[in-house]
Amino acid sequence: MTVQLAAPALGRPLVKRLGELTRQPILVASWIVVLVVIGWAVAPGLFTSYSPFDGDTSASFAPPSAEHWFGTDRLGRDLFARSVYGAHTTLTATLLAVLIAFGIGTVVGLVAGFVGGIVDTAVMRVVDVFLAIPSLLLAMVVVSVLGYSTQNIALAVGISSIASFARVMRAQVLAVVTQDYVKAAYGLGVGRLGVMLRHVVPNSLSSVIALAALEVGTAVLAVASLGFLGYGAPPPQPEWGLLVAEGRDYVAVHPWASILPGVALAIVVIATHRISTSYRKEHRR
Amino acid sequence: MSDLRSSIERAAPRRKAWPWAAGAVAVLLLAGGGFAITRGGGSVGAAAGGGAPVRGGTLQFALIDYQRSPDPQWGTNYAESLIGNNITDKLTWQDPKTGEITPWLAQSWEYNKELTDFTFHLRKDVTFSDGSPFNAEVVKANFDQYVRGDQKLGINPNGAALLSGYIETRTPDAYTAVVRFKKPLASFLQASSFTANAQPGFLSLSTLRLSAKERNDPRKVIGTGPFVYDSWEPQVKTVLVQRKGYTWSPPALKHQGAAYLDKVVFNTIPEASVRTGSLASGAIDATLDVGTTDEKSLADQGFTIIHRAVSGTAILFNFNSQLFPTNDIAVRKAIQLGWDREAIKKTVLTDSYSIATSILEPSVSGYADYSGSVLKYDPEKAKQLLQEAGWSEGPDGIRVKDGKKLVVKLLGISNLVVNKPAYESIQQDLKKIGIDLQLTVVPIPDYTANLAKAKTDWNVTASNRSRNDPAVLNLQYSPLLGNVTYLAKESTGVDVDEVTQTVGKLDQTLDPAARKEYAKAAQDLLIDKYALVNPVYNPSQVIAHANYVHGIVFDAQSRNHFVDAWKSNGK
Amino acid sequence: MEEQREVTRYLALKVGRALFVVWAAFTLTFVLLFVLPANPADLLFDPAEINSIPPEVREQVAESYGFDKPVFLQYFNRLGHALTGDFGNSVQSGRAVTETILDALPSTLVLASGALVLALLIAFVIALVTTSTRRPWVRNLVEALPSGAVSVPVFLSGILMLQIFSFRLGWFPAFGDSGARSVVLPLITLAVPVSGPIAQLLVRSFATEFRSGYVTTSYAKGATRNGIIIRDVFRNASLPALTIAGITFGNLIAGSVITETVFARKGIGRLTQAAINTLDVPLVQGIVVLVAASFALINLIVDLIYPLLDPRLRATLAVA
Repeated sequence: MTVQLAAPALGRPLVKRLGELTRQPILVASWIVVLVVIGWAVAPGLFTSYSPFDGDTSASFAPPSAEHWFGTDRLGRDLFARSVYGAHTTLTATLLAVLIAFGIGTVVGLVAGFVGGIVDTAVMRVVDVFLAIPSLLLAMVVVSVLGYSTQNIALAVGISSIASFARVMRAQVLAVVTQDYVKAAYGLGVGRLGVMLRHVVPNSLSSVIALAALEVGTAVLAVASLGFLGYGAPPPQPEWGLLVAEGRDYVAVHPWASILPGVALAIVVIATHRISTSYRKEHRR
Repeated sequence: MSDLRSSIERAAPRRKAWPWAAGAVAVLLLAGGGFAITRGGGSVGAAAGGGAPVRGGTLQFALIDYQRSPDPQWGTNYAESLIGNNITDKLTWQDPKTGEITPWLAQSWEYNKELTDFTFHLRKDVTFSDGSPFNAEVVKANFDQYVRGDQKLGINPNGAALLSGYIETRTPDAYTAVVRFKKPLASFLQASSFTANAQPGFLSLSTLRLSAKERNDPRKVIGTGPFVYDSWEPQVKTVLVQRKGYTWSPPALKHQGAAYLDKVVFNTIPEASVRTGSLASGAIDATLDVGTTDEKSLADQGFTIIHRAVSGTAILFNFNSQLFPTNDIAVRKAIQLGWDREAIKKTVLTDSYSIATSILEPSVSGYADYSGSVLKYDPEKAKQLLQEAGWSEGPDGIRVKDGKKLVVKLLGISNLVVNKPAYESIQQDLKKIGIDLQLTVVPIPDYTANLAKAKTDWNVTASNRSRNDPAVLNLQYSPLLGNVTYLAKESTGVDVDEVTQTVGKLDQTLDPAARKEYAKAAQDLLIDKYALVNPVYNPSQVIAHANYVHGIVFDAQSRNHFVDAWKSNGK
Repeated sequence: MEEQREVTRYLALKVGRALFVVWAAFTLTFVLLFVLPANPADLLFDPAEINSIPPEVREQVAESYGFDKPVFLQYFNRLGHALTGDFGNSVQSGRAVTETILDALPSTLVLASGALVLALLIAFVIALVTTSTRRPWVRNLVEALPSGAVSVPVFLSGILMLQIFSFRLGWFPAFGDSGARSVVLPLITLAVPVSGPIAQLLVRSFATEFRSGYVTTSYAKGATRNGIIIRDVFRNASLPALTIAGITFGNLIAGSVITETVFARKGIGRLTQAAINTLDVPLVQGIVVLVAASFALINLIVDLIYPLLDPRLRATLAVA
């Protein structure tokens, strides 16, 4: 392994990176998917002229058409519009979940790995406990305690993922601290805090960031699963997981109502996985 | 839930991965959809119509819930009450058409003028499936435990609400039981026929001695009903078999004598699409809890849809009369007027359901129709009422008064599939007149948990109560009892005593004409004068069955009885 | 002698950790459930009636479940009983928690272990094809499958499979758990997403092992390509897979919540959902402890088998 003092992506010329990208059409497509979805979340009005809330009651359960790409739901609301507007709720929730898991998990893992000793033991035992309770169960209990809202669901999903992040971060930190350049830094008289911030953190983060990208997909699916089990966002707020979960009741008669949002959801999850994989590869080279 | 994160934890080096699978998955899913659309017609059985009932056969029945304990006197879901109804009998039978109380295990009855003592004269030929006799002693033992529970046995006071004020049961002779109450309880007569949750179905003395834990052995739970337990598999199914020598079904039912079917299997299938698919593919003969969107397609495939509105109250928005802003009668009136009933009827409800036209569902005696007067869609009048009460339009369309927004917080239950879309439709309409209705629609347990804070947290609690007696108005709205609108001194503009007295009268007489009059007065007060409630729709129990199935009975509480049911193929 | 003491120390450490996990899971659920806003005993009543039930009746019910006692007393009471395997009675059904769980467990075990085997199988096939194929497009396609496998919500794939294979084609029963055929669709539904992470890991391990020295040596000795893969690579690369199988088990349990609901199967998953929904404290605790214990047990087994499987690791045993 070569010594990396900073994330290589930042150091490389932009032009060269763009050139590399064109040789990876799938990666490009994945980025486009993610950017489009971010666009949906930020400015949904640009992507659809329909309102996600007001339906045309005469067009209840219209099948997909040029007019309604994903068809309409029972109240005649355009499902594509609901998917587009749903991106905001879903992405906000996902982001919150990832931030909680990433933020807390990384710090905990860093402290455990870097400080070591009794702190490490204590922290890792707690992490063991959280790993032993399946995340969905933990999330269900947390939502039951905190109440039903998208934020609480995000919080629950985030909390249930902290342990994974902590474990990955700790493993990375343990690997990095044994590297020669870290020892060299100590030799040069850099303090512990300095070594941690300047060398350990940047070089340990890549795996955790890749994990965070994966977590985006996981969180979206977790929210969908909770929606299926009845722990959903409050109506009328559209949310992807809930669109799929609620549409399933009509699957025999109006299958598009859950399949099309489901396909959209799957594409986004696959895209984030692809980006995560590519990021990890690049940083391990 | 699975995820990929663990793979990263163990990450070793890497190779290129191209998620072409994205396309593959999409194609697969679409293919699946194509299949689903063109799903084949199911089994269409033998000739429809009547003919002479055929004996024998097993009815495979499906429903959403499962029975959590074989003890029929406990329960909060349909599976529990349905199964309880087929293994136990009640003192009386309420005619589902007229609401009249007719004989069953009690041949006749009388009551004192104060309506505190009810004397039942029991049938003498009734036995439990273990051979022990049914008599006044049994009635007493059952009611005592039903109302008081038994802490040592772990039995809850299941009937404490239904038989409130119960003192004792006296047994002047072996077949006469006198049930006594502290205060007048006219509704007890209907309660003696009650077939919904936590019902007073009679259990043998040997069963009453069992602890809650021991009652988990279904074969030890002994009733007098037309069926007896064969097996109980929690989460999966309950199997009942015919009781030989059963001859005491309610005289009001067509058929006396043992059930036609050998067996009824209550299969639990939580997913709506799986219930529908199973019926269409012939795996089951009949299913309750039919999804509203599946009704038409099942009918088109030759299945029969039967339904009965749930007798009792409609699904209601009960307003919190002391919490801002629903403490303002203008807001309550505006909500009554502010939503389009036609839209809900068209998009959300099927022919099996109806828009509520009063607090009471039309089959309850004393029901009065308010659809032409108070309960109609008139957004202009609603706006005018709000404007006059000082609610002026705010910058975002939501009205404001004294700097406070017109936000109404609703707590509802998600158990009926119709609830959420119906409430959402109302939400859309109310927004147009400047009311921000915020919905929290959750499963029953969470609803119950949230009810504890309803007085201070929720402007609207949305639910119904299954009780086919006009005194349900007293039970729900009396400030001394349910008080679902939280009437108190703080409820500005409402004469609390007037409400207490008006609804209270319903439990003080059993004279049909007087009850009708009192019921009308109570509805006038609650719906019109004080606008304490916004009735939404009448929920319904819907069954789809193959056309070789006959005779499934809906009782006055819309629960099913299978004593008359039969299959033309006898299989 | 020295080695034996090391082994004992290693064992004691691992067992101690496992026990800690189980105790902590018990305590954590207790704390979580006791900050819940509702009185679990209230949930025994019909919500429409709850207001008309006299307060003393509600108190009586709460009392009969011990919910009126001071919280720490309840905690030690439950902990004491839990040590003897008694988690009390379910608030909802009055049934013993242990009995309720044991009743639902076999069905979930069949589903989860079957799905695990199937998932491992799928993962091995994916990894094998990826490693052994010389056609890049095949490799690319197969290698991308894991991402796809985890990206579809379990309930949606389950419902769609039912629509096709059960209702349309009539190959499998749609609900219940009677007979081997009824387990096929749930098994696939659960196995597919679980196979994703395992496959990714295997693909990477296989590739690493291929490049490492001893495979090259075997080549030199004239072994066939597939022979090498199966003999050498498998034994070594399957080690991390064992670990991931332990992790996957927890995911399987959670996945079974959804699978069991869709296919109307009896099982721990649905029991869990019902228990959490009804705030059935004793039942939730029993289940969480069971799941945590089996997770800890599996990790323990993996920890103990690890050194046995790989001679290279035996030396470093004590450090682990």
